[in-house]
Amino acid sequence: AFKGNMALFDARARDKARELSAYRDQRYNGSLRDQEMQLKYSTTLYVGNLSYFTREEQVYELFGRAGDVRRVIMGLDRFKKTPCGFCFVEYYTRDDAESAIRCVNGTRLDDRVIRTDWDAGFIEGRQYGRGKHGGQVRDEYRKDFDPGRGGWNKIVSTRS
Amino acid sequence: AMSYRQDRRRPAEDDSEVDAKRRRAPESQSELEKRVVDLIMHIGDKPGATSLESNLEKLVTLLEGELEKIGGRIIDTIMECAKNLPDKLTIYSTLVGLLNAKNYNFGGEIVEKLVAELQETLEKEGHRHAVNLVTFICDLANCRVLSLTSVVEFLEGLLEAASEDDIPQVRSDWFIYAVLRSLPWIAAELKEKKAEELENVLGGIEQYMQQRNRTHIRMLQVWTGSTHEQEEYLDCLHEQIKLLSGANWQEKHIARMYIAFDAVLGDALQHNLPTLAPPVHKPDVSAYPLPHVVFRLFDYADCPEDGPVLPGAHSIERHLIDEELGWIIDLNEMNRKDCAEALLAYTHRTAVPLPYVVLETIFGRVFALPDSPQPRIFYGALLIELCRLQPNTFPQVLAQAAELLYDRSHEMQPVCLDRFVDWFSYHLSNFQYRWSWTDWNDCLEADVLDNKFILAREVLEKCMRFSYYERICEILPETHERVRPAKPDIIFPMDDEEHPERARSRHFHALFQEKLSAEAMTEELRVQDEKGEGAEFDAEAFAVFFAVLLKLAAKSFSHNFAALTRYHRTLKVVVANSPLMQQTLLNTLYGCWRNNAQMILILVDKLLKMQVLDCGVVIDWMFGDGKDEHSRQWLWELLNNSLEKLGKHVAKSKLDLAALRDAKEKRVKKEAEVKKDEDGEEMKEEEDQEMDDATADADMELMTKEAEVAALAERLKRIFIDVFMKFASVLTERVLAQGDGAEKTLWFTFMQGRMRQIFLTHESLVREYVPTLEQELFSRPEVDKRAVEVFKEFVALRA
Repeated sequence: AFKGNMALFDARARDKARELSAYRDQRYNGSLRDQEMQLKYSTTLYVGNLSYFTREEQVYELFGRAGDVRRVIMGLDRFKKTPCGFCFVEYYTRDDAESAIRCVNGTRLDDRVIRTDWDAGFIEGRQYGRGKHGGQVRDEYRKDFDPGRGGWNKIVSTRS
Repeated sequence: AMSYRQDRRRPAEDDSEVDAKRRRAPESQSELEKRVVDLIMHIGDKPGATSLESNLEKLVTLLEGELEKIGGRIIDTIMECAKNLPDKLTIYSTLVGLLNAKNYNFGGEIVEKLVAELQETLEKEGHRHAVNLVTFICDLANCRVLSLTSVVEFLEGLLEAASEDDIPQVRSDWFIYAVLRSLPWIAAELKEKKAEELENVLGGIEQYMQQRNRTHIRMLQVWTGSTHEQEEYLDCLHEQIKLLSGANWQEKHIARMYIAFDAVLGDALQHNLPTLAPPVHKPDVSAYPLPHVVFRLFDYADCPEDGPVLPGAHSIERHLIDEELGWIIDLNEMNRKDCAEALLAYTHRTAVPLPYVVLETIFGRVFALPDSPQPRIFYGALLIELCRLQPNTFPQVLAQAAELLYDRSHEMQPVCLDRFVDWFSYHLSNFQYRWSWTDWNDCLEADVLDNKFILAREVLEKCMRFSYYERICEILPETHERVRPAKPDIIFPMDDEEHPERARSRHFHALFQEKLSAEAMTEELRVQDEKGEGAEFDAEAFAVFFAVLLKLAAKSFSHNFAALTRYHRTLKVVVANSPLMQQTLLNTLYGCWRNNAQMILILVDKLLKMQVLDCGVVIDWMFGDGKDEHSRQWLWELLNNSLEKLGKHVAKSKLDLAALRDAKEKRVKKEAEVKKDEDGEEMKEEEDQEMDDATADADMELMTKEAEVAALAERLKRIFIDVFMKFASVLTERVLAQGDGAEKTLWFTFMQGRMRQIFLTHESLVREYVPTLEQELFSRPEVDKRAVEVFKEFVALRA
């Protein structure tokens, strides 16, 4: 039997689903190590680059293809309480969540390429955007015109 | 003084690592191993400046010098490559041949380890890997490592194992398959030098194939019916081998590397193969691979005229290509990007119409029965990736495939049609729903149970779920109104002034606005009957209550969940123990949301999880009258999801039980040790008592859990048996009511198909219920024989 730490033909060797991105929640209540530990075992995904018009039901349909979804929490503008382009998807099992990272990340929802990332877990309050104008921080500064996310970035669009 | 030139010397820029390098420091053993493993793994991967033959020679020269130090690692690596890379098999057998020519003892070592590895792989039920090893062993005779005589004995040994008494067909099938599959490599050589032995082997196989049972095939076919019959895998391979034999074993697929080294290899001494002792059959373990059906979608006429020709269905090339592509997918199943790249880099990519064979392999897996080897969303994502990497070829061929599947949908098994719907809607959602819907116009006139109509309608509904109603109206031509999904809004007739329950609905509406507590709400639903007779709660009132709840929560799933959570206790008390109330709930839910299947599925799922609804009642409701939904996919999703949910619950409970048992074992061991440690001294009475108490508690917990799991498992079993009884009676009644010809109707075929779906979707559970199903249901004379047929197909799967 092949011994050694090089599992030559293990499909897992090519698996990127367990990798962590560079993002860490700056408001996480705990040490960096705690956060990384939670990310390692998490069954919750952050989903980004949604259109403001994408509804919960659409998220269920797409992410439901990767496994049983426990719940979806839509990200909201903290002033207007309307969707601001992100959400959390909670699965019951880690396997299903990994499947979503492998198969849903980088594909389209509402014709937009969406991005998934591990999340340490939903806590009340985390559904609100942290940008100055109530939405996501990235919408404060982005350079492009995005009709699915209110057009120009917040600084420009609130000026006019 | 130091030479100026020495100071300026840079490390050599070598083009091939195989060349001896000047090194700053001697390479450590582990570094050497890593380098060698890498070289062996990747030999032949990329076409480079040097030929494969030349690279092989260099590799052999390198390895030859290191046999003493890392010989074991070299052998292990070669074996792993032989097991996992069937398209490169001859490269590795040639490598072994060349090593054997240089070092006879090393060759002998490899041979010994190979048989041991095959033995172990079979013991561990690695049947697919074992087949590759069998072929590798055969090919070693081509490389003059093994004597042809011992390979003949090896093959005969496998045939003998197949003819053992009292073994299931799935076991003997494997041995026959291993031999058949290896013949393309070795048969030409056998024909030349051991013609009679080869004839005997072929004759033995022919005999086996003739007596073989084929009852299981229908259950595994994607299309049931005569127009697109698919062959069972062993039948197909047998035909392919017969055709190849007729062509004198000439084929164009296998790259016989050893021919270039004929002179060197011809001088080598050969070994004899140690005997393989196949592992003993264990009756409990259903560990043999299930049979499967060969999926074919394209033939040569579908491919472009100016490109490579698609090999015929009975050509051995077709079989080998399918297998090799399958291995690539399996090795890359965790990374769709790597997978797509590896498929596009397939060794024989220029010799075959690559998009066609790749798509055929992928769709074969989408439709594989009982289940796909990978999660089906992986195939969808993989296809999108392939379209991204080759935007000028793949999308068009994919569209061709979808057209063909639509055209042939007529006799597709319902479970496969469901999967096509799921895949196609998912795929379209990534491509703006661009499709020539007008091409699909025969579905407009078709019967409600015609698969084309079902396909179009279900795809559009799922597309709507990915997007929204207005979007579907945009992309669908007006002519196609018949297949357009309904607007998924709530139906709430009680808003009408004339409705008899309007007053009551307004009453509950007000209570909800007041945020009435769950307890108070429960009282609202209690029957105002002082005598204490009759039902405790008012079903009619409950129906109104629940409808109003749904209306107020209609905005989103989250609103619904919040409402159900808020009134969880009400639902538990009023509904959970009353099948009548559960039916009322389901009827109300259906009445409000019958235009939104997604909502029904989500809510029932939630209510099952909340243990407000009972799986058995949901199934009863599902089979009940009053809904005209049996042709709808969601109804069967509901059934199978509920069964799956309960199955998972039972599985989880069993795991918890196993954990408790483990804990007990550890405790007992520890106790024994502690008591030993005391060295005859008496434990303090207190400690002793504490330990006994803890043990008693834990034992109690274990016993309770055991009872709970046993009850759950029994309940699951009864629910499955009940489902099959319902199918059997529905089919039997139809035949009794409509007489001859009833079994040929669309309705009947459809229902039979849905029955097959239960067997296939829950195969691992249902196979344990086979004896009971036989005894209680399928041996009864009144059951229609076509229902019994389906059962027999299932039993034959592992017989």
